[in-house]
Amino acid sequence: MLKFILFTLFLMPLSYFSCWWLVHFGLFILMFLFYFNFTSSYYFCNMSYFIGCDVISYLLILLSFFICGLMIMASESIYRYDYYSNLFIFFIILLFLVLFMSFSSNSLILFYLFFESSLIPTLFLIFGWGYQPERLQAGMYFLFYTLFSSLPMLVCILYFYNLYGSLNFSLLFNFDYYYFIFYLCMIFSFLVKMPMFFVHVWLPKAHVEAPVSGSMILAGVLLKLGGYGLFRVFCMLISSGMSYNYVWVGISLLGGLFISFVCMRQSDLKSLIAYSSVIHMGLVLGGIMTLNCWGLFGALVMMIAHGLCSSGLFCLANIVYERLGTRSLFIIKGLINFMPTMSLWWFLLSSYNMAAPPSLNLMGEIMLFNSVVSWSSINTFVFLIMSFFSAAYTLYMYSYSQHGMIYSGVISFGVGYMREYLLLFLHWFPLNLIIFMSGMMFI
Amino acid sequence: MAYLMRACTLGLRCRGTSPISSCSQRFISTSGKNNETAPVTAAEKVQTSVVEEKNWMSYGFDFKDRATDRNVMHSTFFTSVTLCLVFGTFIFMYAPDPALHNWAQREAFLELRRREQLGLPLIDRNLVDPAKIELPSEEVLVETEIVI
Repeated sequence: MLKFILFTLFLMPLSYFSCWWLVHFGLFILMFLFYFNFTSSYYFCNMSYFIGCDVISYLLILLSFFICGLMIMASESIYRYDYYSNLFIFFIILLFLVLFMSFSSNSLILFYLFFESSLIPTLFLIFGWGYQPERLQAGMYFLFYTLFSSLPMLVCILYFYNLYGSLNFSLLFNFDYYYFIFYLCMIFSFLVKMPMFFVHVWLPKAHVEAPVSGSMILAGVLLKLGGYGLFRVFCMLISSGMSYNYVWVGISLLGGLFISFVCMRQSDLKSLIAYSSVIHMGLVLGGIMTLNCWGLFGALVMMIAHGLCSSGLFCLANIVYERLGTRSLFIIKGLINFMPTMSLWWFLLSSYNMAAPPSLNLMGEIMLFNSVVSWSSINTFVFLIMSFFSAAYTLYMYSYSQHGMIYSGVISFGVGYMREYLLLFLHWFPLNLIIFMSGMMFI
Repeated sequence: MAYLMRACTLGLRCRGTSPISSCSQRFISTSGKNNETAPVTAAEKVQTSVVEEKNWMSYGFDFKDRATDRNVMHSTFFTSVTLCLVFGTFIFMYAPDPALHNWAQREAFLELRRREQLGLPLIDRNLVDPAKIELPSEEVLVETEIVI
């Protein structure tokens, strides 16, 4: 495991020698090498001094590798116009290193350290390469929502260490601490990160104002940090969880329902995709909070699927933004007339976003449906309406952007480059492949 | 070559089997050919490749240098598709018994055979023999909160 950390660490000075594509190449090579660390057990393998990986860590680290490589491919305009490209690559490598460390750390305090550290490079990406002045407020919301919610968690971790003597994940499940404040403080940070409905306000701002690479990493991996944290922390919160989780199940599912109504009203393309992320993560949160086997596995499957699908949709939104200079659905219309091949990718990724077969999203949704409905029958109606509106707003997004007359103010723009088609293919194809290896996720 | 074709067509037309049309016969007159077709010389080949170099279409990876664009395209496709997707799928498909599912199934069949031989029920309501369980006393249980 250490070799990956050292490789990534030594990619950083390389960014100052104008090695844009070399770093991209290096990340994919490293991902291939990471395949040989294959783990599908719930206990930690490939142990180093403070790092290891179990199946959840393994899959999320692979996702991080993939999304970081694709971020570099998607942000080619920064390389083309040399818009502080060296610094950009440096922040991407730093962000990847921090994510790798947070997913592979063995200990709660180390996980917390890297969880917080991931905020800094992301903030710099939003501030440095975002497109509108609103990115300043968006960055502030993003930073302070997470920082505010995670301070109580730090206090609880330190208190717990004082009480128990160890923060190693492998030792936590022996301990069952039944105090509401402890439970709330430990999970609140992850609820904000996921995000859950009432504390989701930072997400549409941050996702929309971020550049394409920022949106990809936020939607693709950073939201999953919240889910991953919940997986780790619930080992010691099971009794409290069984008493109080109904609150979070209710809020996340109903919140997802209301947000799906909000999605139908969006005129900003990136905002629509961002709210769609809230809905999917609300489902994931509902699944985790039920503490069923199917809920936990479904949450893991859905996190991987959503990471790829949402990231792909943000890439599509950026492909259009680079040509038309806008995110508004009033102007982005009738694209099928000019870019029919790109419409194919819009269709494929949109249909996977609404959990159409044979996608991994469908598998995740089915498992989560089973989980929340077995937990309480009322969830059937909530889930039903949420799924229906999920399909409705995705169809709305697809048909408004692709069908109809092209906007009259458009003179011409180029059809997709091969780089763009490869980017979308690499987002879409694993969603079909991973189903065949989903057996390894059911530990 | 063009002269040869016209000669053949003329010959066929004289015999009444025109390749052009059986309905009507058309006589198309063209200008005299002055050996306009010529083999491509080496100089012209160089000229077209220079034009290709000047007006090359980028794959989207680099817009300044054609060689870099092609190299990056090849390396990106190799690493992402060949290595990560193809070889990665191979590794996952041939990984030895991920999550020990096959082992668990084998063990289950062995356990079933053991129970059949001993005459025990194949699925027992009690995982452990109830006689071996020591339950806590009532005094301890009164204080404990039961969460269902």
